[in-house]
Amino acid sequence: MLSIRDVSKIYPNGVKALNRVDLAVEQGEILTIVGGSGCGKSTLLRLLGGLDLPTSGLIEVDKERVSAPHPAIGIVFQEPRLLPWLDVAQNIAFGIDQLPKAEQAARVAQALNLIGLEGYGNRLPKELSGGQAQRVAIARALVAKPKVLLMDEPFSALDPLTRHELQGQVIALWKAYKPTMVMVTHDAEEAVALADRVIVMASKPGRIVDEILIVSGRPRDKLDDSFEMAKRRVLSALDQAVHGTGGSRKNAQSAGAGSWW
Amino acid sequence: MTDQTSSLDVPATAGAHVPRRWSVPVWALGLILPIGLALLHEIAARYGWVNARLLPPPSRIGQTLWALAVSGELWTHVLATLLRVAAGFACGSLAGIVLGALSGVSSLGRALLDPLLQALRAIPSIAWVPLFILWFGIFETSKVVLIAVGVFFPVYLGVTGAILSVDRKIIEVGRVFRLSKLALIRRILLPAVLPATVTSLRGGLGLGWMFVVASEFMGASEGLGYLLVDGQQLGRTDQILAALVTFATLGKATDAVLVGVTRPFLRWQDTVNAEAASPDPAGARGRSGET
Repeated sequence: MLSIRDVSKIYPNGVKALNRVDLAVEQGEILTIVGGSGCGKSTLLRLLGGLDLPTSGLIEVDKERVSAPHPAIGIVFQEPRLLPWLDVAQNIAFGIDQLPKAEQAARVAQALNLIGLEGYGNRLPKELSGGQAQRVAIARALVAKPKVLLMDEPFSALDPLTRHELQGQVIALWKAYKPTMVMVTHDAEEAVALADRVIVMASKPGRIVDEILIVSGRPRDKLDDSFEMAKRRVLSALDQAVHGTGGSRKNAQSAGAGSWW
Repeated sequence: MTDQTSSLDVPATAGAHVPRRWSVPVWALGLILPIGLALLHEIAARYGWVNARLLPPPSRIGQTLWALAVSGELWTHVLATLLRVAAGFACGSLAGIVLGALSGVSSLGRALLDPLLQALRAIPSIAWVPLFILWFGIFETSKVVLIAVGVFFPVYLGVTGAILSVDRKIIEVGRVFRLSKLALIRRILLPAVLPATVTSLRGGLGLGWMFVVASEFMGASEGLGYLLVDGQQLGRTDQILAALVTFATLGKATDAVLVGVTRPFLRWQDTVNAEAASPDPAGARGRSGET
């Protein structure tokens, strides 16, 4: 579905944000990317979204090269970025205004229902809480029915309870729309709660150092032992990525191969 | 949210009916001071505590105003002044919006335009008067041009600043949905810059009223500014004050029209007082804590 081949990104100031990253994401997979600050995880997401261009390497969605924002790719940012002069329904319909009005209305109604905000259609963004606004932002991305949904730390500004609630809703939305999902997060628990596969990145230069498969079904119980073990596995990989000698991708894969939970 | 409204009722009932009975609309509070001062002045003039010739009492101003209105003279002057302001405001704000947009949207436009305009801005607008009189004569054209120059700069600065301060992050939302350049302007840029543009137009209008007086001082046979000069020459302070009252009324009224016309488009602003404040780019973010 998504393929990243030998992608590097060097900023004009010489910072190597990404160094020769290879990654393939399968159709319908939920992939989470974790890593310390400056490891290039947000950069990678922006490249996937076509918002920035890689210095070298190739990014493809559905075998089509991504060099600008692509209709098959939806993006949710760290902030909701709703348009304050549009109400909730208009914000959700923002990206599908080329569709017939009736179709737009149907999709908006379905989305409002899925994010639990029925009756909020004509509220203005200023009347929403942070969690509600972020849900609207997710709905705005999903009603365009993208094949791939990219999310850049979408819940990092929310309190733990709201965050937990939204994680559940993301899974519900994923079941309804079945997009391939790539989500950047700095929270190991969130990564394990959502993902089929967790990618661990390290900085200087930004690269993938580890990969953990999460095979347990959904819904996942965060109090479950296996959940706790998977989380610990991600945390220790993160710890190694941030403080350790920082392995190359090679030993990461051999380590990753043994880490099925 | 519903909890909040119901809890607000508690102190009202606990505080008995006293605050209810005495509750006055807020605008009425603003009347207390002027009316009180006017009454005081009236009394002071009647008892000869102040020189009624230099500071005529409100009743006298009212009579003068009434006489001017009945004779039709007032309307001639009001119309002349209003037309000048309207023409000057239209030209000045149009030029301000167009050049401001150019300077805001294109960095080339800004590099070309901004230095010159900033230099011109440093010239006090009134200083143009001698030149304008020589260029455009002493009649309407020079007056309208002077007003237009006064209106132009705040509008130009406001529009440029508004465009430059549009949040890059919401522009990126437009990119994600692959809006064309035109759609990006229509659906994101225009609504985003509207509040600051309205604020700058209001500032421009205020200056327009200022410069219409200056232009009418430089020679006019009608207009409220003429009424002022005429009152000075005849020593009629009541006429001067009547003209000032008319200025105040018209200035406030035109500002209210501007605010009223644009209010429906600005209802979304996330500010304490949308009318007085500049736009808040963080408005997209929710503020209340509930989820």
